[in-house]
Amino acid sequence: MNRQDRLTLMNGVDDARLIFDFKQGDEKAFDLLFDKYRTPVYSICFRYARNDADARELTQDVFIKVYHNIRRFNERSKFFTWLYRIAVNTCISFHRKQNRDAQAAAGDPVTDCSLDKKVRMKIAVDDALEKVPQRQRMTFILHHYDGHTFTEVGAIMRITSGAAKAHYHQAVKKLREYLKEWL
Amino acid sequence: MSRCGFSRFVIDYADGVLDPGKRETFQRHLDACPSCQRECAEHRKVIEIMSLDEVPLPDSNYFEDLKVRVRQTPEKKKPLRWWVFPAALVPAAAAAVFVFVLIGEMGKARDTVEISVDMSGFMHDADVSRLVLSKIVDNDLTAQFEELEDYVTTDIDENIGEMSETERSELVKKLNEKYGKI
Repeated sequence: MNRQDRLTLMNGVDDARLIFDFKQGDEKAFDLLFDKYRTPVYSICFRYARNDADARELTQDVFIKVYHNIRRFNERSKFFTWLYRIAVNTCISFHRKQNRDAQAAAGDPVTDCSLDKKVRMKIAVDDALEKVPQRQRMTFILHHYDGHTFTEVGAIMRITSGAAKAHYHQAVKKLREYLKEWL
Repeated sequence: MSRCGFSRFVIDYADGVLDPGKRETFQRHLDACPSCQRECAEHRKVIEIMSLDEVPLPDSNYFEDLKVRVRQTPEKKKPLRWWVFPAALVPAAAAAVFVFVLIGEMGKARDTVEISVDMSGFMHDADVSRLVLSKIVDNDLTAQFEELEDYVTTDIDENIGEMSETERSELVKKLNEKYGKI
């Protein structure tokens, strides 16, 4: 069972029906779509941005884009593919705007042994993910955490399923390298 | 990093998605290869560590407030990507527009795609709207434009850098088919 089937089963509501209703002027239909996808979208944004403030901003941007553009959604692809593509593009665009210097100035807390091991591991994971190239990182997030198949990841990111798998493999290899001291 | 020729199967094997035929062969190899055994163990540990990573969700009030804000906030206007935008209007505007794509030799030092557009003036939303109303720009062309825009939506240099040779060839092919000789 793929992610979309799980979501549909979970809520018992069909996206196409909700989009149709929303296009007919039923605002409540958007509420249902929002409620259905708010957690997965926030989770993707958080896993990508690695902090709550940015994840909130990104989630807001994603749903603003969805709300204002859903009437133009042409239903040639599945809604969740379209929505996730907006989330992916919003995250990747946001990444470019970040001030990396500020992060670099924060130093390297992973080496601070006074911190609890769990905290240090969390920081190491943050740092490792941050170093993985954007599209590889996003592929890892979508596949590993969100459970999408490589075909679904490919559709979301407009790449082939083979390329999605290659991105995932590259991401895993890089994470293995960056997390070496924890292995 | 392992130099073992079988190491390319490690991730699929450890993730449990290796084809049954290859799995059997790899399993036999694994029993005798310390390098692949180490890689498998490391991979599983990485996945274990990454799986511990949790998302602290905001409370439901945040989402309820967000639902309201989403409706109240106008969408941010995307900056006009002049090098893509006029290009999409080439057939419609019938202007003297040239899309010129240079791509470095695959696998060589140069990984940059440059697209330069030479035309008399930039087109703005109002101009596009007029073209749409006049049915000069149709839905099909708009859809193609959106597809191209999505394809190169973020940092093109970075995207190109991460593309495989096949993907790069596909991009060039698409541009070539659409906009003429490259």
